[in-house]
Amino acid sequence: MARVVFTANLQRHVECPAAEAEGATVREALEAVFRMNDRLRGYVLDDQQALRRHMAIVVDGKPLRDRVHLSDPISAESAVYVLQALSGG
Amino acid sequence: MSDRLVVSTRKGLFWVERGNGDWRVAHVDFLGDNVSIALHDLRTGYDYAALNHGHFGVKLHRRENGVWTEIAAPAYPPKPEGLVDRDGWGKDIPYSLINIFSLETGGPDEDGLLWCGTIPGGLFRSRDHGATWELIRSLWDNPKRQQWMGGGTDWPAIHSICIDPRDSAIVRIGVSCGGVWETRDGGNAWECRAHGMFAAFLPPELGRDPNVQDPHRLAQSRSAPDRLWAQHHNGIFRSDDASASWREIADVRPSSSASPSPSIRASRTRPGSCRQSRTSAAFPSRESSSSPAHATPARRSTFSARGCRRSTPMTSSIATRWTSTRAATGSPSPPRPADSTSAKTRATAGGRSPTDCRRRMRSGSFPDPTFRRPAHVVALCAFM
Repeated sequence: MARVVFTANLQRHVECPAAEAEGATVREALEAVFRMNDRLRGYVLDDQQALRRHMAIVVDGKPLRDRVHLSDPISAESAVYVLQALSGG
Repeated sequence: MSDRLVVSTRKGLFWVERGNGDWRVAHVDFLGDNVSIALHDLRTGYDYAALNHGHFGVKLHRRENGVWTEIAAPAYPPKPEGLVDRDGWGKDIPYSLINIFSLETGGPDEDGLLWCGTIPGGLFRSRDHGATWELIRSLWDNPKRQQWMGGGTDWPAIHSICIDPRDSAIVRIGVSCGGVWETRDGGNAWECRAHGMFAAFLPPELGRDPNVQDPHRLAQSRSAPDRLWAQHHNGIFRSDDASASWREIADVRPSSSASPSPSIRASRTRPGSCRQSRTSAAFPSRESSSSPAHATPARRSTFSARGCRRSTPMTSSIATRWTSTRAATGSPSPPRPADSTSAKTRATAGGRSPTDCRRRMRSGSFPDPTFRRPAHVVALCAFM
C-alpha cells in the first residue's frame, strides 16, 4: 500500500496521521484515507473535489500533474506527500 | 451601547467587554486564525464563527455549551461539464466556497434557520443550525447573477442579509457588486431592488444599473420597517418604501464616503433613524431629525471600528447584547471618488448601454479614450 503523509500544519486543524492506503491513483489513495477521516477531505480538496489551489501533492518526488482529477498513477511502494504550496513568493 | 463586542479579525475572534468604565479583551477564540465573521443566535444561544484557513479552505464552527465544534460549511454543487459561468467582468466564477461574507439568523419563528452569504456570490440556507446547507438555486440560477461583479474581492460577495421584522419570509441581501435583492417568499423568487442607487465611479451608462450597485451594509428600522439604509460603496442611501426606491443621503458626518467603509445601524434610541459609526464614535445622522419617534427599541444595530457585519438585537432586556465586526480584510470594493459630481462630469463614455459597457470591459477596451478618469478611478483600474 502507498504511504500518504500530510503536512504537519494540517494537524493543527484536523487530526491526520500518516496512513497506508490502497489505490492505483492519487485520487483512489486519498479517497481511501477520506473514508476513514471524512473531515480531512475539505481541507485538501475544494468543492469540486479538485486539489485546493494552494495545496500541493508530491508523488515519489514528483509534483502532481493532474490537479483536477488526481489521476496520477501510484504504486504500492509510493510515497504521497500532501503539502501546503508556498504562496505569495 | 452594548457591553460586549465580538470582533472578528484575521488573528482570531476577540471578545471585548466593558467594565469599570473601560473596555478590555476578555477572551480570544481561534487565536491566530482568520475569522471572517461571527454570529450569535439569540434563539438558541449558539455562537457561530467562519474561519478562512487560506490553503485549507473556509470552515464553519458552532459553539454549544462553551465548546466549539466544526460543522459543515456551505459547499457549491458540481459545476456542469462545459458550463460557461462568468461574472460581470468576464471572469470565470469558481464553483467553490471562497469566503463566508455574511451570516444571519432567520426570524424568531424559524427555529434553526440560518442564512449565509458567500464569495463568489452564492446564498446558502441551513434549516438545522448549520449541520447542512443548501444553495439557493433560484438566485444562483438567475441569469442576472452573471452581471454581478467583484469589487475589492475577486468575485461577487453577498455582503449583508436583512430579515424583515414583519415577515421572516421577506429577506433582502446586499450584493457587492450586484445591488439589493429581495425575496418575499422565503427564497423562491427574487427581485433586484436597487433603483435610485448609483455608483459615480463607474461609467455613466453602467453607474445607475441596479444590478451592479455596491451595497455593503443593509439596516432596517424595526419600528418603521419600510425604512432601510444602505452603506454603499458610493455613499449612504435610504429607502422609505421597503427598498422599492433609494435616494442618497449626502454630506453627513463623519463622512458619506465609503472608503474606508463607514458603518450604519438603526438607532436604538430613535427608531426610524440611523447612526453612523467610525472608530469608537457614533454620529447621529441628520436624517434622524425627520424620523418618527417611536418607542420600540430597534432590533438591529451594529457597532464597529470598520465595516460592520453583524445585526444584533439591542433591546435592553437582553443580558448579553453583542455585536461582531468582520475581519479587516480591506475594502471589499474599489475606492470611491471623493467628488462624485466631478467624477460624473468627467466620466464621458457617452451614450452606450450597460451591456455595451460590460462588453467593452471584457474585451479590454474599457475605459475608452473618451472616459476621463479621476485619480480614484485610476486606482480602481490599477487594482483590477
